[in-house]
Amino acid sequence: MSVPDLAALPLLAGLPAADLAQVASFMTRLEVSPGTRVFVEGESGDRLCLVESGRLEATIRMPDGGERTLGHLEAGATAGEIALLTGGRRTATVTALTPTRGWIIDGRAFQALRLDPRRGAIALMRRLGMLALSRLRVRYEHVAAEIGGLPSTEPVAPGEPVPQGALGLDYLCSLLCFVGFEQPSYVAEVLRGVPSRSVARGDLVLREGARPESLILVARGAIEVTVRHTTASRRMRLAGPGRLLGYSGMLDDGMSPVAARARERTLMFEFPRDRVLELLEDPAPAARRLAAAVYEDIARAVRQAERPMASTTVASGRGGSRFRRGLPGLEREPA
Amino acid sequence: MCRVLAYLGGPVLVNDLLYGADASLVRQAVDPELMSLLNLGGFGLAAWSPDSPSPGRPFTYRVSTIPNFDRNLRALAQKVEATAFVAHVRGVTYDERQQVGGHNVHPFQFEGVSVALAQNGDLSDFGRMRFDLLQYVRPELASMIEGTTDTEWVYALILSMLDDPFGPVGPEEAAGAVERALECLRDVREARGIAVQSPVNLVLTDGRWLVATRFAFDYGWYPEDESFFAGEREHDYTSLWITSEREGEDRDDRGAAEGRRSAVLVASEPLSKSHAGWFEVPEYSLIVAAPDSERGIGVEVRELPW
Repeated sequence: MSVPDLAALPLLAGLPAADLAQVASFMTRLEVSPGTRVFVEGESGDRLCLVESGRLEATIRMPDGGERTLGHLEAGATAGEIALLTGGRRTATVTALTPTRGWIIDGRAFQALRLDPRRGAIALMRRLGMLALSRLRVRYEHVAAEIGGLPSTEPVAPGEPVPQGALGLDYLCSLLCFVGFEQPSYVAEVLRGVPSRSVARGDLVLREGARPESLILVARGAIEVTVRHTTASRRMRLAGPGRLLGYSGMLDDGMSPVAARARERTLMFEFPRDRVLELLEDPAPAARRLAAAVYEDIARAVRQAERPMASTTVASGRGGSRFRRGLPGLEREPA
Repeated sequence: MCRVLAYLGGPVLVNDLLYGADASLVRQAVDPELMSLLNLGGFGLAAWSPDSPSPGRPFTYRVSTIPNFDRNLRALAQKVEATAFVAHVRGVTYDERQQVGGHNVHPFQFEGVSVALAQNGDLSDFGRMRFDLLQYVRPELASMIEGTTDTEWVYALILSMLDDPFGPVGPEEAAGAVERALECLRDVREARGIAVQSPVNLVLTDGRWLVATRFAFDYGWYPEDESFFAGEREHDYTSLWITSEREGEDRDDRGAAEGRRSAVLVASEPLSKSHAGWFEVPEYSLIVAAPDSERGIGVEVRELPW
């Protein structure tokens, strides 16, 4: 393949020739005839596809054994990045309708790409992450439009600072976002100087419509990400330990399309914006692993935002039950 | 942690519910998709049929072995039809301290009580809570507890929140009792300083309605020990799923999605590997399903109060 071929793809547009040459080393050619299934629903998401020419159809299976068409992919489209970033299964089958040409990044190449310190690899990972992030924002904004109404103007809770070292390194290394960090020193390196705080159950930690000043890493507890308007509310995600939030509005330089509230008492790290942007471009091993974790988390958030969820009616309040009947008090054990 | 399945709808062969899918409950005993433990601690079911003698009493089957080799279960399942059903495969950690036996098999149903209950959950440090709960559990119910599980105590606690546990119970009354029981458990946990993640996914039915929760206390606060729960970082095993069958879809002016619901299934994981047609129930939710003159079976998924 030639570098000019790749430059024509929207995902890679504007990359310098030297970076494109690096990117090319992770790709193989795809040429398929009509009827070929490029991805199969339920199978491992072990590659992504960049479409140069042709037309493909995405379908899902229905409970009655039939199929439903989700949409079509044409020249310039990227498919499969969410499954590749998360390591999950395919959520749709993609079939070529016409002779189709493109490029593939397979699982092995992706494993090399995600930690590669060269500038072209860093740029490609960044673009895949941003592609997932734009899909996430579209989903969040679609839900907000469905709900209507206005977001809450409740202020973010200040919380309580947590002293450095309050959480042991062994525990931190076990968090999901640090699973790919082979050495504890990498975890210590990315967390060095990152402030942490605790918030109470029910505290707002990110306001919809505000610009996030930090990327939040949940260390203990759980934070609920919602589109919560005056009219209704829809939960998009429950972020437990090792999950991140705040990238919508930070990495795509807009306002947060969602609010986030502690569903349990929560301990969290807050990476300042400048530190995050620096780490995402940094070729050092610890930074590459953090960048991969951020992009994977974004893709997981897409999966969660798009999964078929049973819709709920919203509880009337928070911080207390409508049903409390004045149960007899219990003696508390000393802490 | 366990796998549970509940059904409410038109008559269906129990065999179809237990065995008739590529990820059926019986297969989940030894090959669950959403949890890493196997479910080797026993199998139980309660199935209601309006055509049976004493239709308010379910057909029950409870054994402390796994269902996969059980010819008796297979034979019965091929003959019994049900309009309501709850079945459970019990998952216990691989630990000699676990008590595996018929007295600990779900679903639980005390003599003279119409409501049965099964759980996918685990109340951390339950031994320290047990006797605090006694003050909330009616003595006549406490005396019926035979086993050692937290589930049987939660069952007795929920029944104690009812005006008359031995009388007829409606779905809203049951839902209210579940919420009050969760509040009570939260109070006891706080009083004892228990602040470790403890999922409590409950399924209750009396054969006419179905109530279920997807709930966890202190989500994201892992125990600091060597247990299964300390090592578990993905929480798929605490999820809950729901799917429906609808009738008259092609004749309904409002479209297929508005057709009358003829059946509802609630499960710890989808019965099909593809997950097609299954909806995940959000965390901190309560499901109430009951016959409804307009909707067939009405289903409401409510966010539990904070």
